[in-house]
This record gives sequence, C-alpha cells and structure tokens, in this order.
Amino acid sequence: MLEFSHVSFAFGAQEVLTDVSFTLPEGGALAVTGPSGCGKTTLLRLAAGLLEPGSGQIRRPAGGAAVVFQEPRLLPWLTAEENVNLVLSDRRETLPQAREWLAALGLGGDAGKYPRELSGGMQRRVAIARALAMRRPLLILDEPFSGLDGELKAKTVRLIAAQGSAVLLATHDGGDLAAFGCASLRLEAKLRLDA
Amino acid sequence: MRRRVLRALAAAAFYLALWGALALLLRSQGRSLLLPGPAESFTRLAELMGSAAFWSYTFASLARVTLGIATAAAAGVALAALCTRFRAFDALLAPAMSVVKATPVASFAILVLIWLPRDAVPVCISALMVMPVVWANVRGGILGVDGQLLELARACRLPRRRVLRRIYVPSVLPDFAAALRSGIGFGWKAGIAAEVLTVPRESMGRMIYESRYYLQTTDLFAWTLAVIFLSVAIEKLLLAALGRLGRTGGRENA
Repeated sequence: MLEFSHVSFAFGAQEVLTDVSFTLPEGGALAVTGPSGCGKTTLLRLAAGLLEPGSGQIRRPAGGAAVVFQEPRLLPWLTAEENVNLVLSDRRETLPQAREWLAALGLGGDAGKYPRELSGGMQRRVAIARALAMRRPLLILDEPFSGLDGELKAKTVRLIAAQGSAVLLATHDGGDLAAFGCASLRLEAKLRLDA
Repeated sequence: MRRRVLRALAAAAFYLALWGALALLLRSQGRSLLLPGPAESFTRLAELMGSAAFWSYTFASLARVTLGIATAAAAGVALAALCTRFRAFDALLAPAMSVVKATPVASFAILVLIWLPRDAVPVCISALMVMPVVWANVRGGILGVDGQLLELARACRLPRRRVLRRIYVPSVLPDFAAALRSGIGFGWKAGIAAEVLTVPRESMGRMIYESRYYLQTTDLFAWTLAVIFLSVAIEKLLLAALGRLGRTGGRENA
C-alpha cells in the first residue's frame, strides 16, 4: 500500500506540492493528472523514494517500486535485453527471462539491438519491460504511453494489469485513465490538490 | 585508406629527403658530425638491433616506462574516485596536481634520484608525468556521468557493484582511454629523459647519454629512432586495445 499523508514539498522557495493526501491500495491504480508543471513528476519521485517530503508522511510498500520515467533511460552501451537483465541478476542465466519480457511487449526480434537502433516508442517499451521484470508491488509510470499506438498501448496495459502490482501513473491523456479504469488525482497549477 | 597510406608515405619521404639534403650540405662543409644522414642512421640502427644488448636495454627501458604508466593509471583512477567522493580531498589534491604538471622532468628526476635507487627514477618520473593527465580526465568523466542513469539505478535499487560496472565504468572509459592515448607518449618521453639524466645501468637513456658524451651522433640518432619507433608502436597497440574496449562498452556505443 502507498499512502501520502499531508505531504508538502518545495524546491527551495518554490512550493511544488501542498498538503497532498491519498491512499493507493495493493493492486489498485491511481492516475495523477493536471497541467504541465503542476508537480506530477515530483509526486511520482516522492512515491518512488527518490525525494523525501518537506512535511507530511509517506508510507511506501516494503517491496519497493519499479519506475518508468518520462525518458526511457536505457543504458546506451547495453542491448535491449541487457538493459532489462540489468534489474534481474545481470548474469547470463537470466537473459532468457529478459527476452521473454521483451517478447511480451512485441520486441522479441529486437532484443539484441542497442537503444540507438530502436525508435522512441520501442525504447519506451524496453523501459516498461525493465520495470515489469522487477516485479515490485508498486509500479510508477510517468507518461508511459507517449509514442505507443492504440493496439500496443492496450497490450501493455493488459500486461501491467496481469502483474497485479499497484499502479501510480502521471498522464495528460484521458484515455490512459479509461485504459486502467482507475481513479484520478488532479493537481492544479497552483499546486493544490482539489480532487 | 590507400590514399591515406600514400599521403603518409609521401610525407615521410619528404622529411627523409630534407634530412638527407641537410646532412649532405653539412658534410660538404666538413661538419658531418653535427648531422648524420638517414642512411647512416638507419644502417646503425639495424646493426644495433642485431646485438643482444640492444634488446636487453630496450626491454629494460620498456619495462620501466610501462610500470610507470600502469602505476599512473591505477593511482590516477583511485585519486579521481576519491576526489569526486570527498570535496575536501579534491580541494587538497587539485593544487598538488597543478604543481606536478608544471614541474620540469629534469627537476623531478634529480630530486627523485636523491630519494630512490637509480633504476626506480624513470618509473617514478613516467608515473608522475602521466598521473595528472589520468586523474584530470577520469575525474571529469566521473563528474560527467549521466545523473538520470544514476537516479534510475537508485530507483531500481541496483547493487553498488553493478552500478560501478554497468554505469560508471562504461561512462568513464572514453575519458580514461583519451588520457592513456596522450599519456603514453608523454610518459615514454619523460621516462627516457629521466634515464638520460640518471643513467641506469641497462637503459636506452644510458645509450643516448653515452652517444652524446662520446660525440657518436650516428648512435645518438639510431637510438633516438628506436625510441620514436617504439613510441609509435606502443601507441598503435594501445589504440587497438582501446578500440576493442570501445566496441564492448563506453560512450562509443551511445
């Protein structure tokens, strides 16, 4: 379970989040929406434990979170399968497992390619495969489906849902909410929670 | 490729012809001692290469300089890692590195000769000359590691060893390679210069020193040619090795 309790956060004097509270139960899904610069990514980074709140409390699941950042963040000197394997054992024995995750996302034939040989959408799918391979109780997705067409997006959502992890996603796209069938948490540009 | 080789050969031929012409001119003035011709120098080099002593001295010099460069590489990397980890250590070390870079080889060689045995001086001098280059490049490389990748590693809770092997090493490798590329020629020249100054029993530097002392300019040129050929050969070998490393990791794949 992920729980934010009266969480506020500021970068220096610039307040980004004020008094945010919500609970995301095990296996649940919650979309954080709002205009650009309203603090969606900051909220996700707080949830991932990459930032600590200025005030308030965050309870994170003991097993940790897997994160898909806005940028794919693939290691350019590793192939797609090695990038996924990085979060497994990083040994040869788990490479088949990494390949399976890539195949599940339609990248079976591209496992041996370097990121520079993949399109933006394909790189994003590798990043999603890497996050899924971690099998963490919480999956944090920052604008996860940009560059993915409808069919691929539906397939990816099905895979994520099948894993049973709680999902916290930031999105601009109302379609993502429908795809996950999840509640939404809207952040306003004034950085106050109103829903 | 073929055109490049032809161009390099043409340039070499031009300089050999210029050298030959100057040597002929000086010979016509009865001052052949000042500049032996290319034919004499290469012939003398071939003669030297036929002797066991040549190879023994060459390997001794090569071993000293290689040990110096290897020490510099290891120390430079370790110090760079410490500097990026501890700011106070960085503030302490940076001026010392500037002083080392600015100090002439001769001053170091004479000073080190007081402290260390003769044979160890070229090792120490090569190391001292190359270490600041490795330190500066690797330090810059570590500071330049992509913060987003490090944040990813934190988010994924990757073990420290994996972060080092998969993120830091490939990120810093091109900077390390560049440091070695420039450092190897520098270290080799500094090592031989230190040998000339300290005259270890078995060394190319000693042979250069004796050639100068006995005014055997043909020998001086022959030994200098050997130093140049070895320097180029070592650099080529290193570039080949680093090229292979670049194919398996590093920013070359970015």
